[in-house]
Amino acid sequence: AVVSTQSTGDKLSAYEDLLAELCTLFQEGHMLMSKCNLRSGFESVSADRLPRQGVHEVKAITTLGVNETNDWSIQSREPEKPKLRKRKNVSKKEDERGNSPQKENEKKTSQKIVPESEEKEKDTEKEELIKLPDDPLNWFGLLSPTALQQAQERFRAAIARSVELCNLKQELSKDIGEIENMRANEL
Amino acid sequence: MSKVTMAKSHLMGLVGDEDTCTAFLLGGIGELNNAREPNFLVVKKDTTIGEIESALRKLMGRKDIGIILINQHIANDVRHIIESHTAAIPAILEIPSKEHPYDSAKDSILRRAKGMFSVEDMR
Repeated sequence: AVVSTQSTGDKLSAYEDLLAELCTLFQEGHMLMSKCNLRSGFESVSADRLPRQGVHEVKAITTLGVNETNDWSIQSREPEKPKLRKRKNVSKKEDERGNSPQKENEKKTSQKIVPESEEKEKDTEKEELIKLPDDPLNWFGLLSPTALQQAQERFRAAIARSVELCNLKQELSKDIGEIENMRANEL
Repeated sequence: MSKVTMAKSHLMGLVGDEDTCTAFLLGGIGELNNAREPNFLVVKKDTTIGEIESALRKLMGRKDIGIILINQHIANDVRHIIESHTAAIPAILEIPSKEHPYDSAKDSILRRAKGMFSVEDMR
């Protein structure tokens, strides 16, 4: 006999409820994204801003953990805040000295001719992947509109529902398989 | 309380249209670097079924991916691969898209459960 804390019928209705919730979260999230596009500009939030292989480097902030019974759980980390570029601090004293013609000439003569091999090394350095901001919200601009933040919350909730759905689907698949076997044996 | 294996975390794979990929990557599941291939595929209008199949098979073969999300309308094109996948990891979950609402009639669990329970079983 199969002993379960929740009957298969209850699990099925929970499955349907989770599916409906997922669809609702999707719709709300897409509506908010469309609202954001309407206000910020056409297609400001679109697949064109997504990272591209060989160009960008991105690390997931939402990952999965699994336990002994293959039940999934969400593991999310706090995204790093984008670092602002430091302004080149030009002190007042340096400004007062100014750029005299003598100093400018000295600068010009001190410029070395960079050999081609070094130039090629610099080029390979340029081929390093562009590291996008940790928080995907900032891929579409540092000043993210409220609608986009709300959309992100909807989609994060949708991801959590997807994981719950997956776990429930695995349980249901087992239960239904057992019922099918029992019926086949009865026949 | 069951133990959660924290030693290795898994990623979520994604095969979806542009809106779905934008949505889920906004949620933070995307990962991309030179060491590994991306854990997502953006299916555009000119993406062939062969490319979708190839990408799905690659995601299914990766040990660092725990769940693969795929739009239901895209899953219909590669149903033969999904039906033949019986391993627990990675799990495959069909999700709705912006332009194609979820069709419960095509859900594998609900299809199997349909007709399984009759009124007599509930008494």
